Amino acid sequence: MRRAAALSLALLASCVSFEYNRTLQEAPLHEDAVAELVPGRDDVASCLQRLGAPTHVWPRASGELALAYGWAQSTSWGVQVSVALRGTSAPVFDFDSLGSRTVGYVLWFDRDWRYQRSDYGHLEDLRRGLEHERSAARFDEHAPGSP
Amino acid sequence: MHKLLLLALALPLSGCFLTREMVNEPIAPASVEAVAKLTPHHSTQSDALALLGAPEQVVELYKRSAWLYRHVESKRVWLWLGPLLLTNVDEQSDRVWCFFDEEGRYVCSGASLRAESAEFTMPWTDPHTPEDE
Repeated sequence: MRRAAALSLALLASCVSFEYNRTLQEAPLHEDAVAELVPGRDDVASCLQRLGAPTHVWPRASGELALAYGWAQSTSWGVQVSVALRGTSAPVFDFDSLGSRTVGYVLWFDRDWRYQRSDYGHLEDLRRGLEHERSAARFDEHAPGSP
Repeated sequence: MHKLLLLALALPLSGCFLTREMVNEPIAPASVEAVAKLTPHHSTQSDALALLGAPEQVVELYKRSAWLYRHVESKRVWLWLGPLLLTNVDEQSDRVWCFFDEEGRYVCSGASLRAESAEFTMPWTDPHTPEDE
Protein backbone atom coordinates (compact mmCIF):
# COMPACT_ATOMS: atom_id res chain seq x y z
CA MET A 1 0.00 0.00 0.00
CA ARG A 2 2.85 2.38 0.89
CA ARG A 3 4.68 1.48 -2.33
CA ALA A 4 1.58 2.24 -4.39
CA ALA A 5 1.16 5.56 -2.61
CA ALA A 6 4.85 6.44 -3.22
CA LEU A 7 4.56 5.54 -6.89
CA SER A 8 1.39 7.61 -7.23
CA LEU A 9 3.08 10.57 -5.59
CA ALA A 10 6.13 10.23 -7.86
CA LEU A 11 3.90 10.15 -10.93
CA LEU A 12 1.81 13.08 -9.78
CA ALA A 13 4.87 15.16 -8.97
CA SER A 14 6.30 14.39 -12.44
CA CYS A 15 9.37 12.76 -10.88
CA VAL A 16 8.66 9.91 -13.27
CA SER A 17 7.29 10.74 -16.69
CA PHE A 18 6.73 8.80 -19.88
CA GLU A 19 7.36 10.47 -23.21
CA TYR A 20 6.36 9.80 -26.77
CA ASN A 21 7.84 12.11 -29.39
CA ARG A 22 7.34 12.27 -33.13
CA THR A 23 9.27 14.47 -35.52
CA LEU A 24 8.29 15.12 -39.12
CA GLN A 25 10.84 16.88 -41.30
CA GLU A 26 9.98 17.65 -44.90
CA ALA A 27 7.54 15.60 -46.96
CA PRO A 28 8.34 12.27 -48.62
CA LEU A 29 9.14 12.32 -52.29
CA HIS A 30 6.87 10.32 -54.56
CA GLU A 31 8.74 7.25 -55.79
CA ASP A 32 6.94 7.32 -59.15
CA ALA A 33 8.41 10.75 -59.90
CA VAL A 34 11.92 9.37 -59.35
CA ALA A 35 11.19 6.24 -61.38
CA GLU A 36 10.25 8.39 -64.38
CA LEU A 37 13.74 9.90 -64.62
CA VAL A 38 15.77 8.50 -67.51
CA PRO A 39 19.58 8.20 -67.25
CA GLY A 40 21.35 10.11 -70.00
CA ARG A 41 18.20 11.96 -71.05
CA ASP A 42 17.35 13.96 -67.92
CA ASP A 43 19.67 16.57 -66.52
CA VAL A 44 19.80 18.73 -63.40
CA ALA A 45 17.32 21.24 -64.85
CA SER A 46 14.70 18.64 -65.77
CA CYS A 47 15.11 16.85 -62.42
CA LEU A 48 14.61 20.13 -60.56
CA GLN A 49 11.54 20.82 -62.65
CA ARG A 50 10.04 17.40 -61.88
CA LEU A 51 11.00 17.00 -58.24
CA GLY A 52 11.41 20.55 -56.96
CA ALA A 53 14.31 21.77 -54.85
CA PRO A 54 16.45 19.16 -53.10
CA THR A 55 17.26 19.37 -49.41
CA HIS A 56 20.99 19.02 -50.13
CA VAL A 57 23.39 19.54 -53.03
CA TRP A 58 26.61 17.59 -52.71
CA PRO A 59 29.71 18.10 -54.87
CA ARG A 60 31.35 14.97 -56.24
CA ALA A 61 34.77 14.53 -57.80
CA SER A 62 35.69 16.54 -60.92
CA GLY A 63 32.52 18.58 -61.22
CA GLU A 64 30.07 15.72 -60.81
CA LEU A 65 27.13 16.36 -58.56
CA ALA A 66 24.50 14.74 -56.32
CA LEU A 67 21.08 16.05 -55.36
CA ALA A 68 19.59 14.68 -52.14
CA TYR A 69 15.90 14.75 -51.27
CA GLY A 70 15.55 13.80 -47.62
CA TRP A 71 12.81 13.58 -45.07
CA ALA A 72 12.41 12.17 -41.58
CA GLN A 73 9.53 10.61 -39.76
CA SER A 74 11.08 9.61 -36.48
CA THR A 75 9.39 8.48 -33.32
CA SER A 76 10.92 7.96 -29.93
CA TRP A 77 9.69 6.98 -26.54
CA GLY A 78 11.31 7.36 -23.19
CA VAL A 79 11.07 7.28 -19.45
CA GLN A 80 12.41 10.20 -17.49
CA VAL A 81 13.24 9.88 -13.80
CA SER A 82 14.19 12.89 -11.69
CA VAL A 83 15.73 12.28 -8.28
CA ALA A 84 16.42 15.08 -5.78
CA LEU A 85 19.65 14.56 -3.81
CA ARG A 86 20.63 16.53 -0.74
CA GLY A 87 22.94 19.44 -1.50
CA THR A 88 23.03 18.87 -5.25
CA SER A 89 20.86 19.73 -8.17
CA ALA A 90 18.37 17.07 -9.21
CA PRO A 91 19.85 14.66 -11.76
CA VAL A 92 17.71 13.45 -14.59
CA PHE A 93 18.02 9.97 -16.07
CA ASP A 94 16.84 9.51 -19.61
CA PHE A 95 16.30 6.44 -21.69
CA ASP A 96 15.35 7.03 -25.27
CA SER A 97 15.13 4.95 -28.41
CA LEU A 98 15.24 6.81 -31.70
CA GLY A 99 12.94 5.13 -34.21
CA SER A 100 14.50 6.20 -37.52
CA ARG A 101 16.77 8.66 -39.28
CA THR A 102 16.55 10.87 -42.32
CA VAL A 103 15.86 8.83 -45.42
CA GLY A 104 15.46 9.85 -49.03
CA TYR A 105 16.65 9.69 -52.58
CA VAL A 106 20.01 10.76 -53.91
CA LEU A 107 20.23 11.51 -57.62
CA TRP A 108 23.68 11.17 -59.15
CA PHE A 109 24.87 13.31 -62.08
CA ASP A 110 27.98 13.18 -64.26
CA ARG A 111 30.28 16.14 -64.95
CA ASP A 112 27.91 17.42 -67.65
CA TRP A 113 25.16 17.29 -64.99
CA ARG A 114 23.39 14.48 -66.84
CA TYR A 115 21.33 12.16 -64.64
CA GLN A 116 23.00 8.79 -64.01
CA ARG A 117 20.98 6.93 -61.37
CA SER A 118 19.18 7.27 -58.06
CA ASP A 119 19.61 5.56 -54.71
CA TYR A 120 17.17 5.30 -51.85
CA GLY A 121 18.27 4.91 -48.25
CA HIS A 122 19.49 6.69 -45.17
CA LEU A 123 21.06 9.95 -46.33
CA GLU A 124 23.87 9.58 -43.82
CA ASP A 125 24.92 6.25 -45.38
CA LEU A 126 24.62 7.59 -48.92
CA ARG A 127 26.67 10.62 -48.00
CA ARG A 128 29.32 8.36 -46.49
CA GLY A 129 29.57 6.60 -49.87
CA LEU A 130 30.10 9.97 -51.47
CA GLU A 131 32.96 10.76 -49.08
CA HIS A 132 34.64 7.46 -50.03
CA GLU A 133 34.22 8.34 -53.72
CA ARG A 134 35.84 11.75 -53.19
CA SER A 135 38.70 10.26 -51.18
CA ALA A 136 39.35 7.69 -53.91
CA ALA A 137 39.35 10.44 -56.56
CA ARG A 138 41.87 12.49 -54.55
CA PHE A 139 44.05 9.39 -54.17
CA ASP A 140 43.94 8.75 -57.93
CA GLU A 141 44.87 12.38 -58.64
CA HIS A 142 47.99 12.09 -56.50
CA ALA A 143 48.94 8.58 -57.58
CA PRO A 144 52.28 8.20 -59.48
CA GLY A 145 51.74 8.26 -63.22
CA SER A 146 48.41 10.04 -63.04
CA PRO A 147 47.94 12.81 -65.63
CA MET B 1 -19.15 9.28 -8.98
CA HIS B 2 -15.71 7.67 -9.15
CA LYS B 3 -15.42 8.58 -12.82
CA LEU B 4 -16.26 12.19 -12.10
CA LEU B 5 -13.69 12.24 -9.31
CA LEU B 6 -11.04 10.78 -11.63
CA LEU B 7 -11.88 13.36 -14.29
CA ALA B 8 -11.71 16.15 -11.74
CA LEU B 9 -8.26 14.90 -10.67
CA ALA B 10 -7.03 14.39 -14.24
CA LEU B 11 -7.98 17.80 -15.59
CA PRO B 12 -5.57 19.84 -13.45
CA LEU B 13 -2.80 17.35 -14.29
CA SER B 14 -3.15 17.76 -18.06
CA GLY B 15 -2.08 20.63 -20.25
CA CYS B 16 -0.71 21.59 -23.61
CA PHE B 17 1.18 24.32 -25.33
CA LEU B 18 2.17 25.16 -28.88
CA THR B 19 5.36 26.69 -30.19
CA ARG B 20 6.27 28.00 -33.62
CA GLU B 21 9.82 28.60 -34.82
CA MET B 22 11.00 30.12 -38.07
CA VAL B 23 14.35 30.36 -39.82
CA ASN B 24 14.76 33.18 -42.34
CA GLU B 25 11.99 35.10 -44.04
CA PRO B 26 9.38 33.28 -46.16
CA ILE B 27 10.23 33.09 -49.86
CA ALA B 28 7.66 34.93 -51.97
CA PRO B 29 6.15 32.88 -54.81
CA ALA B 30 6.57 35.94 -57.06
CA SER B 31 10.34 35.83 -56.48
CA VAL B 32 10.41 32.14 -57.40
CA GLU B 33 8.51 32.85 -60.61
CA ALA B 34 10.91 35.66 -61.43
CA VAL B 35 13.94 33.41 -60.87
CA ALA B 36 12.44 30.75 -63.14
CA LYS B 37 12.33 33.39 -65.89
CA LEU B 38 16.07 34.02 -65.75
CA THR B 39 17.77 33.13 -69.02
CA PRO B 40 20.11 30.13 -68.83
CA HIS B 41 23.77 30.94 -69.64
CA HIS B 42 22.89 34.62 -70.01
CA SER B 43 21.54 35.87 -66.66
CA THR B 44 24.14 36.33 -63.96
CA GLN B 45 24.58 35.84 -60.24
CA SER B 46 23.90 39.57 -59.86
CA ASP B 47 20.45 39.02 -61.38
CA ALA B 48 19.72 36.30 -58.83
CA LEU B 49 20.99 38.54 -56.05
CA ALA B 50 18.69 41.31 -57.19
CA LEU B 51 15.68 38.99 -57.09
CA LEU B 52 16.32 36.92 -53.96
CA GLY B 53 19.04 38.71 -52.02
CA ALA B 54 21.96 36.95 -50.36
CA PRO B 55 21.75 33.16 -50.27
CA GLU B 56 21.90 31.18 -47.02
CA GLN B 57 24.44 28.74 -48.42
CA VAL B 58 26.82 28.57 -51.38
CA VAL B 59 27.97 25.11 -52.47
CA GLU B 60 31.11 25.03 -54.60
CA LEU B 61 30.73 22.46 -57.38
CA TYR B 62 34.27 22.24 -58.72
CA LYS B 63 34.25 25.41 -60.89
CA ARG B 64 30.48 25.84 -60.79
CA SER B 65 28.26 26.67 -57.83
CA ALA B 66 24.80 26.30 -56.34
CA TRP B 67 23.07 28.81 -54.08
CA LEU B 68 20.47 27.87 -51.49
CA TYR B 69 17.63 30.11 -50.32
CA ARG B 70 15.67 28.58 -47.45
CA HIS B 71 12.89 29.39 -45.04
CA VAL B 72 12.02 26.82 -42.36
CA GLU B 73 8.89 26.68 -40.25
CA SER B 74 8.55 24.32 -37.26
CA LYS B 75 5.35 23.80 -35.34
CA ARG B 76 5.53 21.88 -32.06
CA VAL B 77 2.75 20.54 -29.89
CA TRP B 78 3.28 19.46 -26.27
CA LEU B 79 0.48 17.55 -24.54
CA TRP B 80 0.63 16.39 -20.95
CA LEU B 81 -1.76 13.78 -19.66
CA GLY B 82 -0.62 13.30 -16.09
CA PRO B 83 2.80 11.58 -16.22
CA LEU B 84 2.51 11.04 -19.99
CA LEU B 85 4.06 13.65 -22.29
CA LEU B 86 3.27 13.57 -26.00
CA THR B 87 5.13 15.85 -28.39
CA ASN B 88 4.95 16.36 -32.13
CA VAL B 89 7.21 18.48 -34.30
CA ASP B 90 6.32 19.27 -37.89
CA GLU B 91 9.12 21.03 -39.78
CA GLN B 92 8.66 22.08 -43.39
CA SER B 93 10.61 24.46 -45.57
CA ASP B 94 10.63 26.72 -48.59
CA ARG B 95 13.73 26.04 -50.68
CA VAL B 96 15.14 27.53 -53.85
CA TRP B 97 18.36 26.28 -55.40
CA CYS B 98 20.02 28.30 -58.18
CA PHE B 99 22.82 26.71 -60.21
CA PHE B 100 25.56 28.69 -61.94
CA ASP B 101 28.25 27.76 -64.46
CA GLU B 102 32.00 28.44 -64.38
CA GLU B 103 31.48 32.07 -65.39
CA GLY B 104 28.83 32.72 -62.78
CA ARG B 105 26.01 32.59 -65.29
CA TYR B 106 22.63 31.14 -64.37
CA VAL B 107 22.03 27.53 -65.50
CA CYS B 108 18.80 26.43 -63.82
CA SER B 109 16.86 26.55 -60.58
CA GLY B 110 14.39 24.49 -58.58
CA ALA B 111 11.93 25.51 -55.92
CA SER B 112 9.75 23.83 -53.30
CA LEU B 113 7.49 26.00 -51.19
CA ARG B 114 6.13 23.87 -48.36
CA ALA B 115 6.77 25.87 -45.19
CA GLU B 116 3.14 26.88 -44.95
CA SER B 117 2.11 23.23 -44.84
CA ALA B 118 3.66 22.72 -41.37
CA GLU B 119 0.85 21.96 -38.94
CA PHE B 120 0.12 21.82 -35.25
CA THR B 121 -0.84 18.18 -35.12
CA MET B 122 -0.90 15.22 -32.74
CA PRO B 123 1.65 12.39 -33.04
CA TRP B 124 -0.95 9.92 -34.28
CA THR B 125 -2.12 11.95 -37.28
CA ASP B 126 -0.29 12.15 -40.62
CA PRO B 127 -0.56 15.62 -42.15
CA HIS B 128 1.67 15.04 -45.18
CA THR B 129 1.48 12.83 -48.22
CA PRO B 130 4.25 12.31 -50.77
CA GLU B 131 5.06 15.38 -52.83
CA ASP B 132 3.37 15.59 -56.20
CA GLU B 133 5.59 18.10 -57.87
